[in-house]
Amino acid sequence: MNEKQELQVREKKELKEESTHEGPHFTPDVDIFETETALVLIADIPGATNDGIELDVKDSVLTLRAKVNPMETRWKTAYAEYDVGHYAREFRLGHVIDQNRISAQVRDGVLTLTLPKVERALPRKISVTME
Amino acid sequence: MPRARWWWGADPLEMLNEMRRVHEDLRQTSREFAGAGVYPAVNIYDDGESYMIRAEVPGIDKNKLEITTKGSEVTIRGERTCATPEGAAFHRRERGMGVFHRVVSLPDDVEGNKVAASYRNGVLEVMCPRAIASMPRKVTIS
Repeated sequence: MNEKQELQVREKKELKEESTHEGPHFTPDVDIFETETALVLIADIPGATNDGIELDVKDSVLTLRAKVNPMETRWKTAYAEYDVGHYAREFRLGHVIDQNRISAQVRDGVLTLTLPKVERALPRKISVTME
Repeated sequence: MPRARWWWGADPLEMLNEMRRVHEDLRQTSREFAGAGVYPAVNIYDDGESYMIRAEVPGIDKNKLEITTKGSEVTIRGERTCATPEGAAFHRRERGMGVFHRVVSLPDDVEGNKVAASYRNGVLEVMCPRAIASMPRKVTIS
């Protein structure tokens, strides 16, 4: 077997244009893949709690926001390699998504969104009758 | 001072380049020293009683996360994997997967045998209490 790949550090990407929301916001890393029945979006949102996640679909734009609670104030930073902040990202959805059946679950800081495809109209046979 | 004279006589651009090179070297050394660039990125916090190493490591099976201590050195090892259904066609793949291994050196006053760790919401927190002797203590005046 091949030697396992080593995981690399990637700097968190901060959203610069966010001005209406308090605190720094970061763009979460995502995987998006398509199966036969659905589009699946997986986002890394470490530190976000279930109730701090906000999902909104409007005009085919999916907005993901996740709040991260700040550290307790008794902790003083002694050394820092990354910044802690909320998450925000927008995705444009294709019209094949059944927006009413989108489901989401979060586990260990990973959000999995399942976006089912609209069931296409079944092929219909049209019979031709002779007069 | 012949050495100083040599410097001043040198091409100013050459000098600038040399300075930049020294600066780069220093930066590189300090980065290596700190261990930055090795997954996971860590922050270290201090509340006077304990140090806390905090790392954002989402989506890791707790059984694949291993924390060991040796003196005041804390080692974090693990693997991040992701199961994708067969036949999945990727549109975007930004989340990195693989194994990781990081050693964090803390000041000597950490009690290695009292280190405790928790993993919640994809965040690993390693609590490293300071030895009692090095904690601030109020001295009563008689």
